[in-house]
Amino acid sequence: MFALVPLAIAGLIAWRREFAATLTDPLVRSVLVAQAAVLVWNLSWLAVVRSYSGGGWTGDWYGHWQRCQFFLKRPDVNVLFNGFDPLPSRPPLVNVVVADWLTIVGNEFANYQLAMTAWSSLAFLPTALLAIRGARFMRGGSPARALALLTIFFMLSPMAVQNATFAWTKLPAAMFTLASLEFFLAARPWAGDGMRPVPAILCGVCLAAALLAHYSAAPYAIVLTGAWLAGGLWTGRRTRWLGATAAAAAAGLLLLTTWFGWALAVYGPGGTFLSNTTATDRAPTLALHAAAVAGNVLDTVVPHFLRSLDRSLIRQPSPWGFVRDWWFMGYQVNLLMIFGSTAWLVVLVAGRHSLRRLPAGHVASWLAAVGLLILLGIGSHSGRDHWGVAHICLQPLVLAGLACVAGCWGALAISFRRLLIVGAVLDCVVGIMLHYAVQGFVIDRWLEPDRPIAAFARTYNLTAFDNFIVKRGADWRFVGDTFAERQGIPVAVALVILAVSLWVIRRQSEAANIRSMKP
Amino acid sequence: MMSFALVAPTLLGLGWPLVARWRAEPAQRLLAAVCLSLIAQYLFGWLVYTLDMPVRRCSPWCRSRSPA
Repeated sequence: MFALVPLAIAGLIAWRREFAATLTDPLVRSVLVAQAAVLVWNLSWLAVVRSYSGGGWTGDWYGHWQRCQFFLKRPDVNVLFNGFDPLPSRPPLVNVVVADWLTIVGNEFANYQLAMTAWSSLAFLPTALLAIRGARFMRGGSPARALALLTIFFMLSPMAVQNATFAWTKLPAAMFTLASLEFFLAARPWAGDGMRPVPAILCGVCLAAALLAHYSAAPYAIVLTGAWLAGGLWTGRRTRWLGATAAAAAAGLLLLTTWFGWALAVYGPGGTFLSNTTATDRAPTLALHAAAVAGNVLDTVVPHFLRSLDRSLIRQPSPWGFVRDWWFMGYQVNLLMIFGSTAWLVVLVAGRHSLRRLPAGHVASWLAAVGLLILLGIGSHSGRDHWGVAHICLQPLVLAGLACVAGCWGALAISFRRLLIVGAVLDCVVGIMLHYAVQGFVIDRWLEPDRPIAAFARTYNLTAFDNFIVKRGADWRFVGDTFAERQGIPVAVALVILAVSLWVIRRQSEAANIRSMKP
Repeated sequence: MMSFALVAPTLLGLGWPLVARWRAEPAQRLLAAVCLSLIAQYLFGWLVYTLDMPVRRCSPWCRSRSPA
């Protein structure tokens, strides 16, 4: 792994002229600054976490740590992660790369947390490009303002912050998925011989990488591949399209073969394809499976507080723990609230504005693609979950929705902008601040500074206590433990970053307004 | 934290030679370089694992309290 560091530096030095030219581009600079702001924001909240908690989320954060250790220590290939999970139940890309990084930075749990949050924060980069694309697509849109807005949306999204600080591989997969969407749009497969082959190949490679990061990218792979083929078949001249399609498919399949070829040789077809929860949790009959999926669709669309269900998962002695979990199970698993408490409505309005700008034939295709993504994203979870399953596959769709709002901001009525702002403030308070206060035992320690945190951990729900026991049993030191006596520092850093980002938005909005007023 | 600074160039530099001359928007080049760099790191790590090549578990720069 160490050889890669000088190799990477050599690559930058050898093509330094092009690199310098890229860095002098004003938009690239803005993107990099915004990316840094999102990274610092996420790391700040990570530095508050002393034990993971929130609804029923458990297992994955240490399962992926164990997988990284697998690639470092190389035990028997039949080892079970978390005591039940075989290696092929999850694809390896993120674990292999993070294991690479741990050889450089030190094989400690805190470094693993930092690495996972840093990579997850990179999901902002393709989302930013999509927002810029959206702003250019809309009449009078401002790419700089869209970028600044998206930065704030990313920061104030409970889904984005939680998925960045909970050490799993959903946002790395979302990063590759959204990158493939950006390259798909850049390749223009519907343009026949007018399409561009390089972004086509990048689209294929990124889609394969997304699948190797997390199988939750599969619905996007299906929909993008279908859209690609449909786009090409509608066009008249297809020579260039055929060549680019073949190259993109070959590049993607070659990358997929590295994992699936090895896994098939070691575990066989059953072990490779039937060990994921999509297969293991499947109901015994097709009718029962269809019923489970239909139930999940309904429970993912309707928030838990609008229907009756067994709430024992979030029952606990701590009142603020209960309030946190009540909101958490909306923000993380419900199809509407995962965008934000009011943002879902604004996303729908922004989507309508975007569709109006499309040629008539494309509107139905986009609507069908989004509908299919939602259906496949929810349907890919085989087990019945009464709280909702938006957290399984829908993160890229949510981020694309936020990019759409950022790009369409100028076209939105002032009432919808205000609605979004009010919702974002609420999301920040109950979806982020309260959530991290609970994960850092901030309120408990403020009220009873002399009690040990183990006593507080017992006052939250059973899943939270289970996470605490695992951490305590393994004697892992979290990033948050370093700041245990100085939890105000990361919070202050986060608030400064937020204030600076809001100031930048104000400047960009004023500049956009001045431009739009010019004759 | 200093050792994380060594990881940063690998996020961009491994894919950069492949996209440096690509005629695209600078921001797209940046995104492509990041994606390809991460994929290159995966391919390298995967090769090291599948070929059972030796892994040095802690770099000369890291100050790990608990080496693997």
